[in-house]
Amino acid sequence: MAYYAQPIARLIDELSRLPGIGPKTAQRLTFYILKMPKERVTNLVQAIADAKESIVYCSVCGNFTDVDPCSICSAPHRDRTTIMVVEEPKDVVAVEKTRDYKGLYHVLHGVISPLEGIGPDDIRIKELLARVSSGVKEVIIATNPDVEGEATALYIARLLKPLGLKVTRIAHGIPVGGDLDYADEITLAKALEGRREM
Amino acid sequence: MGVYTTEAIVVGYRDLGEADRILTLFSPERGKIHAVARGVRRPRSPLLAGTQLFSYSKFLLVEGKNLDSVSQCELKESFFKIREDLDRMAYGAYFAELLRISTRECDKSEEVFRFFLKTLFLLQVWEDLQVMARVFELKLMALQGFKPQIFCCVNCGEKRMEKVWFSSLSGGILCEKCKNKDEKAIRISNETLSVMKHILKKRFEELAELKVTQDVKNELKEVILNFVLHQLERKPRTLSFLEDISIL
Repeated sequence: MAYYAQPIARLIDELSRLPGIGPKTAQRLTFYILKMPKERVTNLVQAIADAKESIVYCSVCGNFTDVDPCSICSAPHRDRTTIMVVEEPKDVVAVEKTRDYKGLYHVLHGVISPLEGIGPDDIRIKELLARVSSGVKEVIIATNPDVEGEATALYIARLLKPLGLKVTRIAHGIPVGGDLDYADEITLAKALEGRREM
Repeated sequence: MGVYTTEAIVVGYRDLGEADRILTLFSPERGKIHAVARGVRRPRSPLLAGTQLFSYSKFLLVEGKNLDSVSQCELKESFFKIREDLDRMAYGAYFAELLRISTRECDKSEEVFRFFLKTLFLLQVWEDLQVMARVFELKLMALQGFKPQIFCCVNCGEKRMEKVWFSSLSGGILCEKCKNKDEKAIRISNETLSVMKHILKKRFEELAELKVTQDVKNELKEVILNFVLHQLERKPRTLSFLEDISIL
């Protein structure tokens, strides 16, 4: 016996395929959508369709963009000799919010994960190699400081070093507003290693 | 719902939802355990350091209906030197995967735990990682009950042999008369055989000085890796990463 009318069942099924949404959440969202004014529903559908239609990968850095190359890659005031390598497009946003970085980016869309069977050929490392030949002086590796991020950073460094490039890694340490007491030994050791004179 | 404390090494993990992780822990008292660590991917999580791959920590776990969950953990040894070096990290991930797939759930063994802990300590300093991998494979297989018979012919028991073949199928060496028992048996040199005997007889740390020629190294790889893959019936994922970095 079907508990829901067919269109409702279909919507629940589609929503529950999204990450972090289980059957119960999908059901709640479906009933919320059904109660929404028709105009808002149309706007939501349109926004999803527009985003999917107009967003492409930037052919230079691999970030999501609506114009190719993206606004960062085509900006004339950006420093073209520095490339920051990040894991995901959301990391570009995080770094951009600092307003301190003026170079270009390279989005890998993943990390090397030996445990999951994701190798160097599964992420955008080849594209990075092709980019660095054109006047790049420094590559900053800003992958996450976990095992996979570290492995990816070491792999890229090993690839780029022989080309005579300056390869740097972002610092690890105590978060601003954090408590020394709660920091683990490795973080503290790393913070001590990267201390600077005041 | 019970609460228990155990020491364990993190031998694997997989991300779950927004900020959680399912850890695979290896403990001397309970063997292989799967446990959820909630919020562990957030930068200020107190569980962060103790739940990284290869971390040896003391865990406070809460028993759950399906999976146990990590309530607290205290880092005892991070093995950070392994994570700082690409080759050591790749071999460490390979060792951890071999341990994971050769152990069944809740199959406890203090001996295997001590062996793996020792492996991680040695991995930080060992020079020839290729040789270390062969030593680890052979010793792990022996500990898990798959020790190959390399002291006499596995078929007829003959001890004096001029030429020796190794058969993964029969789980040991074959003499010239018996070599037809397994068509895929590999001819091995006497030098390789004596290195294998040496590996099984000596303690892990005593083998750090072991020096072998490139030919023997290649033969050991072919024989032992074949044997491991035959016994485990699947190819570890980390092997392809080891191949990727070996060409760099």
